[in-house]
Amino acid sequence: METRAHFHAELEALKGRVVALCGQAEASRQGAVAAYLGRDLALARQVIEADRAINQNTCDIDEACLKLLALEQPVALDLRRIVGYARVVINLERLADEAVNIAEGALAGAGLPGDCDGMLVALSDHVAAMFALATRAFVDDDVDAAMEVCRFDERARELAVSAMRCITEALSQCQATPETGVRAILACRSFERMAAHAANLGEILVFIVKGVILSQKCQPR
Amino acid sequence: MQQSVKMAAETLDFYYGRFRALEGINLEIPEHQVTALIGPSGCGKSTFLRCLNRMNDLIPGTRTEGAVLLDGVKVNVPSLDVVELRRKVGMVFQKPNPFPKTIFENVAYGLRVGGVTDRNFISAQVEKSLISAGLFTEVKDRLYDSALGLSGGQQQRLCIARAVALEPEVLLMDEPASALDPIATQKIEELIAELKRNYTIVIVTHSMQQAARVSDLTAFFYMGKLVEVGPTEAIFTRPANQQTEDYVTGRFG
Repeated sequence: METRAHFHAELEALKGRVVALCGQAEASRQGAVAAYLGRDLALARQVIEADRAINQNTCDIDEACLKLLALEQPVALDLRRIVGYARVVINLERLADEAVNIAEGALAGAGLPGDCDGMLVALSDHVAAMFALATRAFVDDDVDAAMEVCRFDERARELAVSAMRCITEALSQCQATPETGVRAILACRSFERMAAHAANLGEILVFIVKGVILSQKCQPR
Repeated sequence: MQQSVKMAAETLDFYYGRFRALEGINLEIPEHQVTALIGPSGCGKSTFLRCLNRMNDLIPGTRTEGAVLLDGVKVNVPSLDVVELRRKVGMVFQKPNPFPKTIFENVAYGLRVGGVTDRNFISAQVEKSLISAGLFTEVKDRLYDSALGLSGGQQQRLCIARAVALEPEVLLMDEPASALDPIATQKIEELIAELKRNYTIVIVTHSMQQAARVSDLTAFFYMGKLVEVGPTEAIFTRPANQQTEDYVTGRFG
């Protein structure tokens, strides 16, 4: 007989709220990319506006985690889930912040210098794939998928470095204005940060399911 | 730091008549540590606890196979002096059970039964035991009042004082706080943390939060078997066994 059915139902509902926040963050990411590449100012403003709701939902979920920790005194998998959800929402909120940064770049007059547009699109597509996989891993408690997301982070870094090198060269050859070049570099940086947040989601999922901390900042135990 | 093993069970089976209540238990109890035994009702944790000082001997039709060791010496052999074993391995029960005597006499009782007659020694030992049990300051002015006038929490600490007066090496506690209010429970838990400096403690508890708070090592029993034993921190954050995980998170029990 399940003795904590009510608590576990609350936990399941909390997971649903985190998954919904994943959806909001993904909508922001998609909107920001479309606004930047298509120079769509209205869409860029929508992304910036939507960030308020994401911030509020992050705070609400964080508070719900705190409440469950205090009132239910969870242990083992339940404890790891709640701690994990609190960490996940921080990463989602920051990922959405990067989307806002990209959208703000679009508002300021985005542009892709030289032949670098393909590289930025490749980086953006890679981040999209990482985040989609991270979300699926989270929904399904799929450790293999989560580990794959972590491994994809290295490729994201490579793509970001290539794109930034391309932009720098375009700037040095006067194929782009400094403003356009700097905005493109900042967009690269934002995509790279998004990839890192997606990889963090993978690490957190491994922590939730296996109790293993993968973060490079932590010493193995 | 590696702790030395104070008590151990080796392939221990225990039977109530034909019913096997414990099955192949292998468990080492480290010295000066608190080992918590957890598991659902009927899993064998209290039976195991009572095997450690042979309290089950008092139940007709029971038998033990395998070994229970104290400092490497097998204690479940007929030739062993059970009274001496219980002096070394004391016990505190679920419900406080003070004798209808004065507070002083309750603590002195075991010493007198053991043949100690030196009044000064007995007085010193009573005071020391009451201090160890965190009760002395509360009762020092009424040592000759009836123990039955104490609160439930005080009575339980008196029982702990009565147990430690004999200077045992191991203290067995069978749900020592389950009949107490939260404040009295906190006092008992604080006391356990103090007592482990001098004693090896084994505690049966139905409260997993209590096991998490007071113990260094946790052993999970289920249907007469030891499913998992490990550092308490590991059992309550990332248990290795799925049954343990399901039990501590309330998915069964």
